[in-house]
Amino acid sequence: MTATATRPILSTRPRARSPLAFVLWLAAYATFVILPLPLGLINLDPGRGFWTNLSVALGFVGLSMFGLQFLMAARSSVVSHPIGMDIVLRFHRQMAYLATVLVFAHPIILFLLDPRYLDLLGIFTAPLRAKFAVTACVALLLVIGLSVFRQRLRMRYNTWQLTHAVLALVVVITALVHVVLVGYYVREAWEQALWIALSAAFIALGVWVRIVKPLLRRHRRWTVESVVAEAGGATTIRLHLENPGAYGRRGFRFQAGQFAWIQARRSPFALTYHPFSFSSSAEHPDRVTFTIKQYAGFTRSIVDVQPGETVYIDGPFGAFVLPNGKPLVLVGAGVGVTPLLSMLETLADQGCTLPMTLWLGNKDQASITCGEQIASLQARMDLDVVHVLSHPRAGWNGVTGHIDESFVRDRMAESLSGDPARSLGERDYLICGPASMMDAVERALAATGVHPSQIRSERFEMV
Amino acid sequence: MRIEKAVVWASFAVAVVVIGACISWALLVQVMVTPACDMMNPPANAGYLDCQPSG
Repeated sequence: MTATATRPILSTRPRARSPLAFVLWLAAYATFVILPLPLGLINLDPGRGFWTNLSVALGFVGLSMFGLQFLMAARSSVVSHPIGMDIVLRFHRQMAYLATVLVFAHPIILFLLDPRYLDLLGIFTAPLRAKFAVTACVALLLVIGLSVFRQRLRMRYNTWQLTHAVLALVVVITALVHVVLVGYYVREAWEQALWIALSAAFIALGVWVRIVKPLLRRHRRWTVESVVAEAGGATTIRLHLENPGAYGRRGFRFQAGQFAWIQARRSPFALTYHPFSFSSSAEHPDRVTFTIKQYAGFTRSIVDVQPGETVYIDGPFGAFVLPNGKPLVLVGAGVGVTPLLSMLETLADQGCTLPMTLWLGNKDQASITCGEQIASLQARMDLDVVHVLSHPRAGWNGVTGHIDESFVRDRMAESLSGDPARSLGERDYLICGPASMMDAVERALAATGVHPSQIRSERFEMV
Repeated sequence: MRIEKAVVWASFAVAVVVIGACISWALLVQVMVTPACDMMNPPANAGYLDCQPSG
């Protein structure tokens, strides 16, 4: 089986999202939302009539949805990877409206069913369980109101985010206390414990990712040292850590090939971080570079940063890393070369003497991103570079075409007739680029007898 | 635009599934055990009961 790093790397090209992944993700979400209902059927209390039951069910699933809101806002790659962070955040917003409708339907149905329930709104006379329910509803109205009217109220984004998180916390905790105090359909101690444990887990995750980590990040500022335009419409941004001691005794570390979430020109508490691969050596983690191709949106805004500006980094993440002490063939196309550059820079800094090969696909001579860096790497290590250009300009004597199955087959056959020490068959393969190229290379390597365990790849997709 | 449409459809689908599950649950609860309305002494925390007159 191919060892594939499943985390996405560079947020550049529009992603070919899988509808099946989206459907499965939605199915998992819906299952978690309605989970309290089948659990509530265990040791069931006597039914209280259809409408009362329905009202309770809507309250249960509404609360369950609010718990999951924390999970969706946590920017966890486990949650967001299958469908993309942008969809998750949009869905988060839509589900907030739906959950609000369901939660408010709970008391409204009861009020319509029996006006005596209106007595529970009495602030001084109502039982404690009702006071918690009213508090949850008021906090929920504030959450929605501030989200919808934030700009009209001229509320600062950071202030809104903090208010949003605190009010959301109040909603879930007070609603949970209401459920436990009422205790109907949640009579058993294990049922109550499960509700509390799940809510606590979601809240803890939200607090960790949205409050604790950004607070730590405030002291881990990276400063833009230089911004260099590269060939192929890419830009290399070099950053240095303002305070190398900010990451503790071990300092900041990453492995060549990994990526980090980056935020520029906004607070460390902002939601919109974006993932980019490191393109610099892991041997110098206090000074890192990211080579970013400009397309639209965030990639366009980040390449506009100026030296001296502050950038926040969340990471490193990713499993697309160097294998230990083996000759390698690195295969990339376009800006997919960035994690491979990080790997080669790291190996060069480590004084690696093993033979390395880089197959790099581009459109023409002018679109070879970081061409000079690649040339300088050749002087520092035993690196054989094969540029493959699909539309070369006049004067090109190298390989023309694409990195496809026939290219790989030809290279493998060529290596068999040459120096056995430089044979490609026993090497490990690290592939990063567009899906079509990666599929072709993986197919060709398998056909030429390369064992799947020798292949590592990372899909060049947008989060 | 395509993403926004997909999210709207997804939200609609989730709403249908969730509300459908709630309605099914409300019906199921009435038939799985003896309803509180049919009990001589309903549980104290059952609240105001929604008992339909039976034929």
